[in-house]
Amino acid sequence: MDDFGNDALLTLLSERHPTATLTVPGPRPTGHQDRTLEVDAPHLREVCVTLRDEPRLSYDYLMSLTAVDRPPDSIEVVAHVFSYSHRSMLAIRTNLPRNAPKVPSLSPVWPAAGWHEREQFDLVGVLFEGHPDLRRIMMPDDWEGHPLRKDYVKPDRYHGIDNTRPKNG
Amino acid sequence: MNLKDTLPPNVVFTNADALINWGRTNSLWYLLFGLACCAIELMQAGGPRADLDRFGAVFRATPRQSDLLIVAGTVTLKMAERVRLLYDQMAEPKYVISMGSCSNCGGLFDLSYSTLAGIDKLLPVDVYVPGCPPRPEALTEGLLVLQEKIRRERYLVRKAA
Repeated sequence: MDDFGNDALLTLLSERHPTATLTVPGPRPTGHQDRTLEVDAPHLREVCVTLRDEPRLSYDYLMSLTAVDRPPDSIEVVAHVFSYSHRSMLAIRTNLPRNAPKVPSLSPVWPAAGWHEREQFDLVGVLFEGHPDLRRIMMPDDWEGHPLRKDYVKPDRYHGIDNTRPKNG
Repeated sequence: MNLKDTLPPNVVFTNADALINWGRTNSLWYLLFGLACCAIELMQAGGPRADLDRFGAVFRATPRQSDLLIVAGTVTLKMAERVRLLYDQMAEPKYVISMGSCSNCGGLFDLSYSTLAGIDKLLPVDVYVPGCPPRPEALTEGLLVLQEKIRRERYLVRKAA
């Protein structure tokens, strides 16, 4: 995989998915060095199938799947995948509109995505289309809102329980 | 002649309240129930070094046989009503020890979206044990304080109006 650089990755994926918008941005100014692939939401799942099944890539292991709220406009879904055969890691990023964050579910590609996606649905409010069982996983089923949105306000009461405490000083 | 001297040596005088409270203080069975890291210290308190058993406090695995609920750990909003349900299943008289900062006031996680700001929002608490988490010695102290409180209770004396 050493000779399979960013350009080769981009070329291979663009040939397989000519309609997809793909970019491989360089390292971010924050300094982290994960190789990153940006995909537009509608093509996410098919690109991921290629990443998994193409022998030169074979990203067969989903390490994490998370979502980042970036107000005012976007929510970002980030998946980290790993290839055991090539010892290589890749971050897959997708930007979604914050007012209607919908993205194809990756559960059919990597079954491990199931609970991760439920968590992001619960806490950030991303809708994963095609997920077999998209329910809240951490908060109570009747919870309102998505607590990890930046503009979330913690409610003072829950089921009639007062949940405020005066602060000293 | 003293009346006491006329009785056989296995007869002692006391009042009913003191006798009942003596029994109750030394058989405080607590519910086998833990919520977070405080539960690890609770287990230590029940273990051979701190040994709560020597005060007659042993755990029971059902609230129906328990006298004492030790709320050991962070109470999430999702868990809060379940804790209340356990408390409601216990038979009177029943007591609550709030163990650790989280259970006392929300503690470290008070600002979190999912944490109850102290179990006293939901249950009457008899003894607060501070600490994060409290050492087994601190919990033992809490138990002794609770015993002292129970010892002072008067059930059979009607309060003057």
